[in-house]
Amino acid sequence: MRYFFLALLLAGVLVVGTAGFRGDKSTRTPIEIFNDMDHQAKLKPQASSRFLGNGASARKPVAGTVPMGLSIPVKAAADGGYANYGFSHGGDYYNTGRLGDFYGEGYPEQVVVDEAFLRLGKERYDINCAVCHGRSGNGVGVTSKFGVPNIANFHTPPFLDAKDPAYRANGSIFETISKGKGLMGSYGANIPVMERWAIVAWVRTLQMSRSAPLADPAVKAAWDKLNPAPVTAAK
Amino acid sequence: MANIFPRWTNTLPLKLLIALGFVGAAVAAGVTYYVTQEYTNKGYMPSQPIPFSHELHAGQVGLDCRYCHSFVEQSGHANVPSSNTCWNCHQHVKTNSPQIAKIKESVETGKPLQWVKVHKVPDYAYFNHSVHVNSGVSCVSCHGKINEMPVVFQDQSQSMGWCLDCHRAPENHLRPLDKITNLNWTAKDAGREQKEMGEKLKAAWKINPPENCAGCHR
Repeated sequence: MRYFFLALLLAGVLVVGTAGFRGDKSTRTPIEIFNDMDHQAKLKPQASSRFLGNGASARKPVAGTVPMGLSIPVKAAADGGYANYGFSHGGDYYNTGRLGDFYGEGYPEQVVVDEAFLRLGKERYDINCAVCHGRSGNGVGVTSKFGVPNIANFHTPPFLDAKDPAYRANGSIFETISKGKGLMGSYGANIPVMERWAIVAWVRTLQMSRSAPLADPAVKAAWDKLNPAPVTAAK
Repeated sequence: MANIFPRWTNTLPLKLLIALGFVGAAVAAGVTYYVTQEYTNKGYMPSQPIPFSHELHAGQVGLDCRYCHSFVEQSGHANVPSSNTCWNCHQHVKTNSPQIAKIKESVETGKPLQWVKVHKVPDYAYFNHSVHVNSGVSCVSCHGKINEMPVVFQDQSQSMGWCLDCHRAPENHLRPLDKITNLNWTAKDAGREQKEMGEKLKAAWKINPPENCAGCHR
């Protein structure tokens, strides 16, 4: 009997020694104990497949494919039209930021600028843009410490002054988000169209926040709400 | 007539019974401990094509989860970022690294980087990220403190029983929507108890997670 218990103990030590404990870090693919139907003959998003040879699970649409329900762009990309023409992108102002050959300055008719929209814009700006441009839009986000050069400051004349030769209208900012510009890469694949407009609205809000006159009762009320301590005017 | 069986065989049946009992108990204990996703899946830490550190990007630099996993709020599938997303910063940052060269190659050729999936949901279970994220379940509830992981590993078992633990008592995990991607945040930071806050959110948002089979298996 003594040998039996010794053997049992040895077996136990062997099992624990080879199998380890729960939660041990391992690079080995997890063991699937009843794996019936775990892996079905269907493709999940961003999964690879051997069927097409190049590893993709779907064919890319042929260049120039027009998704159903959208109109053909007014101008071909080769003629200066909207190059990043993909699914969910129409050729109108809402989708391109352009009115013919010019950038638009207002908001497209699909957009209603209200408080909820600005909150959305702030949230999306803080996620996608503040990394480089800074939460206040001053161009000193965290990546400027890591060597990203020439980050735009939204409180400079090209963004503020419509008379500046390099002025960026709303449509231009929208297009920069969608396609990138200069050293900035494109975010069209990351940010849905409506949220890009919300970001444009938030950039304008940030700009306005620096020039809002405290004499305006509405501005004063908002300021007092944020800063309960009374503000005494300097002499 | 001589004895056919020696004397020690008298206790043999009893000894066998005891031995069988112990072996049975040991096997039961082993199966209980090992045949569960707590053991098979938890701690899975595959090596990735690029040793991307969430600890650096999400922790130190402070990128929001949604900077890269951009459609987690709109889509059932939490997307792995396109190489273009990496490239937007890394065309400027650490450009001489051989790891960054892999991103460059991917962007130029259009061939995606083949990241290894860590959390695998069986194909018969339909998990939707967006509905959880929009209902006040934080990333940290299922993925652990990713912002402290240099290499991502599976932090929770993600077994069906584990899913149901939360579906039966969601108040233990609900939090305000603006704190979803703040992995360090706890109810204590707002000076509240998780349970009490969770109950309020559950009532306010009418959170009623399905507990029937068809909720996840269609």
